[in-house]
Amino acid sequence: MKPLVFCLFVILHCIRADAQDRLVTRNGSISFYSKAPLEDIEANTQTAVSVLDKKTGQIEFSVLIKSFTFDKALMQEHFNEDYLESDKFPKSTFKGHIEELDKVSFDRDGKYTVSVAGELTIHGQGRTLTTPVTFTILKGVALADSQFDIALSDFNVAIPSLVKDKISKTVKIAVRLKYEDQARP
Amino acid sequence: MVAVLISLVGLYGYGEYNRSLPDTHNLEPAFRLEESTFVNQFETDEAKANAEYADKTISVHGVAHNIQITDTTATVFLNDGYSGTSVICQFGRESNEEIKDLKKGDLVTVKGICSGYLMDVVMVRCVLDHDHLKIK
Repeated sequence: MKPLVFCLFVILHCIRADAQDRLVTRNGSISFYSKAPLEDIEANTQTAVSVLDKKTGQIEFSVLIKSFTFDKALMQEHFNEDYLESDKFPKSTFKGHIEELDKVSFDRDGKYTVSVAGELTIHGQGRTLTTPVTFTILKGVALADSQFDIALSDFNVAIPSLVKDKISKTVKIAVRLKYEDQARP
Repeated sequence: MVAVLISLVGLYGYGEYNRSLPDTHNLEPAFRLEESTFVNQFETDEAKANAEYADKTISVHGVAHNIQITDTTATVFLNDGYSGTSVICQFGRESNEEIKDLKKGDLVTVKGICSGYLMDVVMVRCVLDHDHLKIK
């Protein structure tokens, strides 16, 4: 009986330690902006999910394409139906890691800018992405900020020939993730 | 006659181009559901639930387990406290005022547009359903 209790204790301890290493957000903010002669395109969502492992530096996020909200209804319809085909490709994901994990101290207040590298998948197409991310640690809360540009052609997002020269071929993406300790109730 | 027709088409095109997203207050819900029922359906068969609910206006009744308000948005997590999965309701800045009095543990009805399922069921452009109940 005693070995069984010991094994259970070890397993529970490992699960708890594992959970304590993970930071989670379920309402992360992602916005994108594109300036062009025909029309500026801007949309955002505050429903991105992200998990960050403090111990290994692994970082992932996922967002529903349909959750992006635009000011103009027609723009949102085109975005979902013609450009991102959100019924076919409902999610966009990123899976990567912090390249210089030893430069970030998640347990000490401060601001740390490090490089994060991984694979960004949009519209079913995966592309390698390396981008600087600033982690702001304040009273146990970790805030991650990053901005990067993507080329629509890298993700097979087709622009109709009629408006090809009037819509920007690159889009600026801003990510803001406010993490909480997963072990927190 | 042709000029009038062209003007009408132009006006329609201009109006259509500038059409705003409808105010969720004015949308009739396609479904009225309890939070746990809504979550269970996505956990059981995500594809089927997506086909049924994604892009639709849904009215969800449940407990405001967590409320997070920022300068630009507010998020209410509907959860009965027994599940790790919530219904995440994203309110716009214009709706911050109407949920400022909402407290954790209140029983509410939230109306929004279902976007799908990640770790939780996601609803955007949310508003409080006016017939919502509150339990102090």
